[in-house]
Amino acid sequence: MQTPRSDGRASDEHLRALSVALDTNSRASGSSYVELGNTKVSCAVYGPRRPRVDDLTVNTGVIDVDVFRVPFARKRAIHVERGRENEREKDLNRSAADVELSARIADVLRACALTETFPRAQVDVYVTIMDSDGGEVVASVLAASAALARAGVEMADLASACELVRIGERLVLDPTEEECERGNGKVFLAQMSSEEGMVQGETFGRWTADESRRALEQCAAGCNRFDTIVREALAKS
Amino acid sequence: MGAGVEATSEETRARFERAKTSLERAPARTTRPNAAFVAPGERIPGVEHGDFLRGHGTRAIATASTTDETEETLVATTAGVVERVNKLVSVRALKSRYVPETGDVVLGKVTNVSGKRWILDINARQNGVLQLSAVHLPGNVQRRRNDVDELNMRTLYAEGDIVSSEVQSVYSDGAAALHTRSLKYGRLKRGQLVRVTANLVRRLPQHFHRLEMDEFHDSVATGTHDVEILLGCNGYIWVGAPSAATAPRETELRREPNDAIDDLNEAYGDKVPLPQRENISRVALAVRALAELFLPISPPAVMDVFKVSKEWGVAVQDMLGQGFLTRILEREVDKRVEAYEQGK
Repeated sequence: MQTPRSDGRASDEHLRALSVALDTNSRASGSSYVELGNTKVSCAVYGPRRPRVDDLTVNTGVIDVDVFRVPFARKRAIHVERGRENEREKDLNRSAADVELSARIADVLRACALTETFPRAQVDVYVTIMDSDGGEVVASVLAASAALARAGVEMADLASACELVRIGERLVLDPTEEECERGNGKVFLAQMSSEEGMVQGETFGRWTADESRRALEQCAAGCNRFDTIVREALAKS
Repeated sequence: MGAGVEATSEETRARFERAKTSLERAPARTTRPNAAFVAPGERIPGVEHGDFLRGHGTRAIATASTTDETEETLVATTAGVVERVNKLVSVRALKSRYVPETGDVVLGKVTNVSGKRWILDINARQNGVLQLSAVHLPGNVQRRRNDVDELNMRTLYAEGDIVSSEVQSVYSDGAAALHTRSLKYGRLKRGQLVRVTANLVRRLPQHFHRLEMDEFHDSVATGTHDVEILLGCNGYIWVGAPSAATAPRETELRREPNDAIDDLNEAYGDKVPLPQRENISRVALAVRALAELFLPISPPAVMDVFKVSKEWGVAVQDMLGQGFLTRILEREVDKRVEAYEQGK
């Protein structure tokens, strides 16, 4: 028996509605705007272009990711979660959590993009979080990989991502902010769907082997469904 | 008629969308049965196992087949349209940076003047490099290889100048070495630069064109209000008053080897008469309109948009309005259908 979700979804396996718009920024080489429920992320990709700092020792391409959070975004999720709101960081509007988020998105993109195809050139990815209601990493990865593909950067595969949170015994796929706060364990998975390759995984909390296997399977299924939607959006534009 | 003046109402937008879909459905002049859209990681449809040559935007991956032999399938690495020439299969991205090739005509903006060379932005992965030894000095004087010469580089091309040039060679990291060793190439003046996606400019035998405007103006000397259009392969397009780059052949013959590069510009001074200015803006906006609709840019296409904008009495400032764009799109659909009917 399933309990209906707080945001009205019928079951724990239901994903929120994902909408992907492309070419939202005419100045960028590729851009996208992704809405995952109430989480809204826009992404602009510039390049490949000449790197600002030319490192002659590196012969592959460089991918740089910067995450910005607009002041009116609903919540600084990670801040509240960890209970260390820092006034100075808040002023700069660029917290340690966002730096971490940048690094995570960059890792996923570096795994997917074929950096050897643009030697000694740089791709800049700017992710702007417009509103946050859980799954901002998921939305950011989907937005960034779609924008990267749109910019004509060669990639092994599109990256897709999905999150899952455990509330009591329930495994809740694609949780909202409120569900994340209630949860006692969380799994994040980024993968390349047509390759069936896992790119990044992150687990919080204590999991049994069986439980985590089920969690990862559900995440992978979620990734595949998101992936299909992103591909449809790319083909339509 | 004032098309495009109205705020983009719901109705105009709906009409625009309708025209867009009918263009997508319009029969293409060349029927490509295998034109398919792929995203990275997707298998390219209709490619028989092992029976292909790997082109740009694809990669071959080994897949385990039922027998012990490993088979190779072709997988896309770029989001774009599948193109095939015989066995060569490649994927062309809709939007990508310019990839320089030797012999391409490119326009660039000087971003930096450094020792013995200019650094140009040419919309590619890497900057374009124009060596001091790869230019003609004005008046074709012999270059004296000394430091004074290097100090004077800014008098030739300074930061922010738009320069037309040709790709001489491409370095291993994708950077392009440029040259302007021809009277056709050099600094561009009296016009404006339009940037579009490089894919919209095809490689043509001739990239410098002079659009004749005599039919639109009465009682002026021939060619006074002509507009010159230089199509850079890198998607930078120059629209301006005619210069030596597009001088008719007779003038070229009369030219002495010692002539300055932009003698024509000097003859006119830096003045551009008002009707010509309007022509330049109109042509530039015609280019932008085509780019907005993702239609290929060629001199006949630009001239066509220019002509209809005049015919329909669209004001220069309304040329990027949804109304005008919709009508251009509808016209394109009609043209394609007509061409298809004739071909049948």
